[in-house]
Amino acid sequence: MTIKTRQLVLPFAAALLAANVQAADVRWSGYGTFGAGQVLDDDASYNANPILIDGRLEDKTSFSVLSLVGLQADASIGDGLSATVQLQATGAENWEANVAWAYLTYDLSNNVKVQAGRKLLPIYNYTDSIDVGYTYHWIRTPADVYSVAAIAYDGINVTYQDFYGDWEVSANGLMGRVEGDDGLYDGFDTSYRVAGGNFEATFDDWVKLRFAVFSYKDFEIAAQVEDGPAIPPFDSMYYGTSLSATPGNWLLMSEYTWYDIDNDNFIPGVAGTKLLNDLDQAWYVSVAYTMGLWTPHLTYSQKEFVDEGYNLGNTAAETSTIIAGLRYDFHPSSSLKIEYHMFEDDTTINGVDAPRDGFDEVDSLLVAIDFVF
Amino acid sequence: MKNITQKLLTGALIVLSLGGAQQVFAEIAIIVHPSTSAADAKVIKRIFLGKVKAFDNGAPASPIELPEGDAVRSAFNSSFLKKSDAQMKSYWGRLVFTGKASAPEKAASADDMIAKVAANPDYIGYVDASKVGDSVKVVHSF
Repeated sequence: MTIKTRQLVLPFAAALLAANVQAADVRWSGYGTFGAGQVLDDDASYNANPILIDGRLEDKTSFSVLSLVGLQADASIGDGLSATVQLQATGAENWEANVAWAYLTYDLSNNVKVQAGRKLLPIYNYTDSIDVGYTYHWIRTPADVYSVAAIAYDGINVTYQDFYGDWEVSANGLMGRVEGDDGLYDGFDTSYRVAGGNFEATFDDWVKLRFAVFSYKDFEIAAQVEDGPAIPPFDSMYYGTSLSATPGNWLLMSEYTWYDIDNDNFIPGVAGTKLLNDLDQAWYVSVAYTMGLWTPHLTYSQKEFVDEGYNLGNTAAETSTIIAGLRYDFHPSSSLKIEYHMFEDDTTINGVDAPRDGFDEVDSLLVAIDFVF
Repeated sequence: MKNITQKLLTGALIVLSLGGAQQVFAEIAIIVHPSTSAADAKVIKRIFLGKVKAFDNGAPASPIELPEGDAVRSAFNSSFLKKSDAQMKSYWGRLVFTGKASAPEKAASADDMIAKVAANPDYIGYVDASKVGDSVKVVHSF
């Protein structure tokens, strides 16, 4: 988080907390994950935590990479107005607390609400609740697909939700700005405008379709690609689609996402150049089956991109991961999860094998306890 | 002879356990304030899932839950909402921590549930049908 953002957000959060103290109806809730994980191959590393770019597991057991806690205060101010503040600390960032969310909600009607403040950009199906492991079957969402780390924006959004016969339809439109050095370009100051939205249609509470599109404008990053020239501002578009179904005790989940960078001016005079960590498309399919308190699940995910840019040669990147896991709801508010991840990197540069982190196959073992209250 | 005795004992055990099961799943009544108009089961389900915030006539609707661990709550979640207790907790977590809805109010007990519903026309709750008196109206039972 930049100093600038801190100056903006903290007084706002403090004001909301003060409002909470005076309001009649304040509700506290919280969530957390305590996890441990390690790579089973010597000297290898593996990105198991899409929330943070530095969420990598190594060959020594880490108790911090997967762990986080969050605390939320909701204050109902009255007449359809409410304020929400969410503080979060992650093990991967030395448990330093951040304002993850801080926003005001105003209900214009039973179907339309306006929110203003800091929220996460809902690019993917699970982005909204990505920090709350308890709300999904994995320990963390598949990193191949959730590769754009959870990014908070400051802005305004309008949501609509209603029923048409057996169909539940919801839509969300937002605009704002992302500033800071967190997220995908960790350690580099970034600033860009965002606009876009997501649309969901759910049939009879068991089949759900989702589509999301976001545009980033004037993406400024205070960084250079290795020894290359400084990066001029550029524009990009992100797309996400999802189809899921819950027949009986089954959960069938799939997402397909892709993005496109309008980068004519990215490296002046070189068409088609891209940032080091850009992807063109990524997808996963996941199956889970709940038997009482036990939910075994299996996921296959893949991401690929082609870069004919100047600094990487002719790169065709392709990574895939198989996640086999088990969730055990041993307590009404807490679950125990164990997962085995098999990661494979088939990246080539000019036709020669060149895994991006140097490891073509990495297996990892992860265990976590999630809770909500 | 020994075999027959075993079979009879097993049969008796099955009958006993079936009888027991029926007692566990006593009838559950969904209750509202006497002045509140009825809503059909589909709308009631949507109200309890936080997807609909008004009764059919447009009056505001707020669901109330029994406390965690209550057998009637578990039976209501699984029979009426078709979700296990853990699935309901995950479901509400997704709504609460993403600003889509706030968690339902909780009653301390069945008596507290009836008292709250009897006092506020916005509320909709559920209790063991045998506990329902004149202070509330039953809109659905199963």
